[in-house]
Amino acid sequence: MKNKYLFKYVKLQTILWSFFTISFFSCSKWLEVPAPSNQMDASEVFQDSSTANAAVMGIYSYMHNYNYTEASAFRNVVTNIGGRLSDEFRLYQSASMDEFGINVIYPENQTVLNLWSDLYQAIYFNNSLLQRIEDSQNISTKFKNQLIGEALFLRSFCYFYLLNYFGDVPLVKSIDVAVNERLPRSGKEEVYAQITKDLLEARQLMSDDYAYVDSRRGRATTWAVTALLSRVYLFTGRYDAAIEEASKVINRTDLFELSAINSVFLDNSREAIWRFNSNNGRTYIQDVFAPNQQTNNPRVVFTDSFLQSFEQGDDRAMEWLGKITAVDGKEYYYPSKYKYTTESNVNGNEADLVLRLGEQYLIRAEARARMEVPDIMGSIADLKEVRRRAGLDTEFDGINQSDLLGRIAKERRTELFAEYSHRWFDLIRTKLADEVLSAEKPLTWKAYAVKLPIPQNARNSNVTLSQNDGYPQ
Amino acid sequence: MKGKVQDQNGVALSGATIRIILSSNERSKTVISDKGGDFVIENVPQNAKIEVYYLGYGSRTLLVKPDMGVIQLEAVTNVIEEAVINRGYYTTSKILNTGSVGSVGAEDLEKQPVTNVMQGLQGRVAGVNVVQSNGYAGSGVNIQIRGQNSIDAGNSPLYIIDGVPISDVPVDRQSSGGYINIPNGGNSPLNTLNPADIENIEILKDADATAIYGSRGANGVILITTKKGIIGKSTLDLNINQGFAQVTRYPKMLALKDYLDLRREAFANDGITPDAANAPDLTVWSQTEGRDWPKELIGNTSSISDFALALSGGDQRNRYLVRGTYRREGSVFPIDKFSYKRGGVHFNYTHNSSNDRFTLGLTGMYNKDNNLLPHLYTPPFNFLYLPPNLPIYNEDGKYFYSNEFTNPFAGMNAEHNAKSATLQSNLSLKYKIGQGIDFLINSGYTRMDISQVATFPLSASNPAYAYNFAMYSIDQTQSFITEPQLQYGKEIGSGSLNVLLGGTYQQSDFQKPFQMIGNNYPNDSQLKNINAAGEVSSLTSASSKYKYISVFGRASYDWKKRYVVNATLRRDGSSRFGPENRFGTFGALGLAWVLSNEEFLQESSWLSLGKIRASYGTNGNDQTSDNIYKDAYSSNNYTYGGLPGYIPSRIYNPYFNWEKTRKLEFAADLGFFKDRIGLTINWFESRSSNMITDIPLTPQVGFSYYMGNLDALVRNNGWEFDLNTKNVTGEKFSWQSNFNLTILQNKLLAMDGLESSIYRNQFAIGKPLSAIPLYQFTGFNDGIAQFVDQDNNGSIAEGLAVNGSGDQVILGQSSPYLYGGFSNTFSYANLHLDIFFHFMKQDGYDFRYYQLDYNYDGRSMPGFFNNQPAFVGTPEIPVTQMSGTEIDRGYQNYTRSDAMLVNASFIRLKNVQLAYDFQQNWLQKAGISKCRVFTNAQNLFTITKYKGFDPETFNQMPPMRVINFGVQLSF
Repeated sequence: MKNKYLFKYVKLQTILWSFFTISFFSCSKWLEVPAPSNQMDASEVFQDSSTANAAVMGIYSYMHNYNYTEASAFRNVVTNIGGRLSDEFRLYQSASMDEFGINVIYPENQTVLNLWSDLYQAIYFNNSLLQRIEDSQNISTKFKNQLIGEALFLRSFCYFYLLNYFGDVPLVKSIDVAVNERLPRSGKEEVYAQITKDLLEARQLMSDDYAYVDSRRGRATTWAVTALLSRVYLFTGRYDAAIEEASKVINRTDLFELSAINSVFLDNSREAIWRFNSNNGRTYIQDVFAPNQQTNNPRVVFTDSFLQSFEQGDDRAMEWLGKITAVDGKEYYYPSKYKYTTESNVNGNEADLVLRLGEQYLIRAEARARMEVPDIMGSIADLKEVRRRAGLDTEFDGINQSDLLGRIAKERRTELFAEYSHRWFDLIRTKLADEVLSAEKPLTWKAYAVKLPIPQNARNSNVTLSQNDGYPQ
Repeated sequence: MKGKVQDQNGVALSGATIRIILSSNERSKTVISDKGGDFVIENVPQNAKIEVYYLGYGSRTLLVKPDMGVIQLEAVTNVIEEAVINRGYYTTSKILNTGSVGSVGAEDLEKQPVTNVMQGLQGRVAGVNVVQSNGYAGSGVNIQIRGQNSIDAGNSPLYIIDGVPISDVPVDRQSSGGYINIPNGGNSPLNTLNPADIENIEILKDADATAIYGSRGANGVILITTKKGIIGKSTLDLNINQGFAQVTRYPKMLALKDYLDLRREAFANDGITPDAANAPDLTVWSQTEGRDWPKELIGNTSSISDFALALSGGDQRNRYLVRGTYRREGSVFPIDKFSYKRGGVHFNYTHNSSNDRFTLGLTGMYNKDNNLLPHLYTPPFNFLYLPPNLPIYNEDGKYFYSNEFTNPFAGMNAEHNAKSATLQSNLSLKYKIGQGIDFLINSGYTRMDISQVATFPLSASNPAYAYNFAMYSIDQTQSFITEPQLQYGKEIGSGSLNVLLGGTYQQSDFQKPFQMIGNNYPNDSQLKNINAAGEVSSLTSASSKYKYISVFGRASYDWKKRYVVNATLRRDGSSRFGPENRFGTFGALGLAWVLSNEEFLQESSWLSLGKIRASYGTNGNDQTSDNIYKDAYSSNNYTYGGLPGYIPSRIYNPYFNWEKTRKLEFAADLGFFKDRIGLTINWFESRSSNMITDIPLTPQVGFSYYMGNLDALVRNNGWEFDLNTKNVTGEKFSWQSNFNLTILQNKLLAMDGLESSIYRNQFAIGKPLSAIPLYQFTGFNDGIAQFVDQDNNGSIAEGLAVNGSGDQVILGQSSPYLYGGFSNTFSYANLHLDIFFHFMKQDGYDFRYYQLDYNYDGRSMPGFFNNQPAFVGTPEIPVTQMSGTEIDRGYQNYTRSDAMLVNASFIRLKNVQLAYDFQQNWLQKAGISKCRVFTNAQNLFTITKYKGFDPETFNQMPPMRVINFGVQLSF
């Protein structure tokens, strides 16, 4: 009797276990669900040239306009804080509370964290593309090379800004979290070496024909690479190379020309080497510069020292500055290189210019002047090109090297103001920040403030990240 | 042959089984008594015997006569043994039950005039905390069974309607494409269920009961069983209800004179002269006529009408039920257009084959609702602080606008309209393969649709910044599930063995075909017309899929109904988790010892039931979004120069996994004096780990967070008591009571990297998850609030002192310390009275605590340009109207200090019903078999020390106090 029951139990157990095991051999695959309709499996994105192309467009979009709520780094943050950190402009309201305006910034600052995070996220997006596109089979070599080149360029562009804001920064070249989350800061030279290497490689891969990717010059070609390379060489003191690269751009008069002063920032100007495409011809940059329409007050106002740096008869002071009488009855000047804001409902004809010919002339002018054997004449010629456009006709015959460098620095200030943090980087690069800013902001300026603090949040989850000198460790 | 079956009191027993016992091996024939207890059997052989039986009554065997007359059955005293407990995939009897299962039946649900059937569970079941999210129509109900297990993932139980799981997440929030934020927090799918369709709700709590639900059972399981057709002649039931509702409570604000005095004092203290620019309330607006804003804006009475008409009947082979329902609720707002309407049909058909081997059950419910809510001006909080003399209209009759305040009446021109439709269907097929072996297959299909339009007309906002816009969205969810099962039951030795083996296949699709925002319409009347939008500022769509597959089994054996062992096992696979961790195994063991069935206690005169039981097992929690671990690129909003762009969505996590909960329970079920007194005591503990949450990363890796499983441990433990007494059981008068009590403790035992995590300002080891960090207030010094400087760094900063991030400490918690219910049922002849209290011991926050959130520029100080609660009276501090001062900043921290921690415990008369059943004899002539008139009320009054809105909903729209009158007729 007992045995009979026992037998039944055994049988039941066998059935139970075979049921369990058989059911699960082929289930794992079945449980794979496709990505939702607004997403795409990463493995599929680079199997097709149109989605691979979209992955590059996404990076431009992320870097420039991103979403509607939070400003991404190159939407206007870089230009805005660069101007306030230096001696270009200050906030009209709560100027004394503006951490950037007074150069008293704590590691907990949210804008600094966003800047750091946004730039590294853009770097991740580029790394993701670089890593995944390698295995791609269905994209032509030419197009694949163009996309790789753009990713290398955009990554370099991000690193250039990280370096100049923070000093040494972690050099992240993959999407492997386990490796990257413990990376310490790399030396400035190492990061510049990587940027140079990447740009040279990118140039080998990319097309030099704007029409191949975007005839609006909204995407990087070899010309954007060359232009950034000349800037990098200037910043790293390789003046011969800077001259060589800048010349490559300047010599292509069929592509580039110094546009008339009032058409430099238009979306069809031939000044452009690379611009961010705009929607409806309106720029995000002007959103932070244009006066507040509701209160009728300016948002940012130029410093007196900046306004005084303009020479008599400089057309740029007329065309590129805006003037407003605030509610307090006083007149103020604000940046107005662009006229249209995205907040307005009026369609414009402008696009956010990132790399332009004017800068290349000034790079070559400075590099020529800084060479061991300075090319004073060549330098003056370049400087005069830029000045002529602004309606200034001064002759510089017999000027010595240091005075010429001073004129070039002044020219960079009045030509490249309120654009991508040029002035702030120039002050640091030429080691004039301490002298200039201690005069401009005598109460709050400290020499260590030439570098932004490494965000505390980033250091909390990566103990290997050191803090810049002067900040709370 | 005919006869009539009655109980010992002469009440007809409908549905009693009458079986003819035949001498040969012929199949026996059975009939069922009808509604009047009558039965007729034809062609009955002579000298045969019949057996008459009915659940809960002793059976009788009688010799056949042509007219059997009245057959009386006697109620069995020990009904506990017979009571069937639904455990989802299987049933058990109360005596053999090894786990914790609570139950609320239709009789308790029908007494309560609630919109969402889940509100009817409040206080009814030990261990089940039911909190209404807010008092808006369509709002959800938060149910926590035995505490909060999860830090960041869902804490809702698994809801199952007739075997088919349904999510309590609003349909528009089930896919990942964003949603329109509406004042009721999203339309709960459970709200479309009609309470009249529900037969029973069971709540599975411990591991023994929930382990068979594997990766979805950690937060407990709520089984909802809908009504089925009843055997008997066809009956038409009509239910008519008319009710009236008001919000339970709103706080008293300063009256105009006191408000103006306070403002004048503030200006005097600051040495500033009030003028038209800085104080229109003191200089321009009426100095004599003020409004009581809460009363004016949510103080109205709404009307609630509810109708149900049902037809049901059937015989042993076929049973059916069809019910149609309609409900309309008005609003407590000054405008009645903010109404809620719901209507639907429910049908059920059950068939048994003539050889009793095959059973078919088909159920369908289709409900639609239409919910109109005010949108832009969302009571209650943003109107609470309006100055009492804020004008509504200008002299020209147009709306008055100021820069500081939105005109609440104009704001109500902004509307939100949600229309939803829900189809729930289920087909169950059962075949008896052989002796004790059944094969069954349960399948269900659910479809939920919601379409929403939110309009913001020009007329709703200040013309100075006026623009109009509208938001539209459509969402659909479809889900299919099928569960084949084998059931085996066999008497072995002196006991019985029950085995269940089954499998689940489920697939769900979530679709958001579109969601968009349109701007700049030519005029307000065009706002519902998408084509009229001048510009589309946001257009998104989303969809996702969910797949789920499992096998499960259960085996139980009892020996002489004394020793019971019940083992359950489930292996689950889910598409929600990473390929490296896609499958998990869950199981539990339950044991019970029925002392009262031991020989030495069987004759006991006082102990009618004595049982001790224990269970231990594991569960998972999978309440997270689909696809959040996936290696994917997203396409939303990343266009560049007018062309589409994709960006990486996240850091890929192939190890993404469910949360795990281990549960342990010890319990005793006791019955005394022939079950006049029944007592159940439970002690439980659960430990949850592997928390699904954003895990912070250093941003240099590309993302600041990734979705993963955080190494943390949360413990819930406590006691549950459930006492049932039959106080009086007289012929005419009877009185029964039920008292339940739950004592709960929640504690975070461990969390990896807490001090550097996103949770460092929120959680502390050894404290409950619901704890809120507060400063320790020490008093005012020259009007400046002072606090304990926990870290002695000379400044007061946000963050928890124990985690080294600030000066706040944890002193209270927002989850209750204990809760329960107390019900009394009195019957005198045909008159029935039910009284039910719900109570809760909990901390709360003075409603000034919420002031900071709602006044975006920190306008919280007494003396500022906004009203204050009446109890502020004459504050002990020098009032000011200047913001940004040290006094102001101190006051802001004061509203984040322990001075705001107050006692928010309450006892609420949750439900009262008085019903009268009319005598049948005179009604029967009119063809009416049942006539009941009743009045009931929900949330009639609340005893609490809490000053503010309702202590259940705090800063949300308070729940409604409903008084209802109704008639039930059966033909």
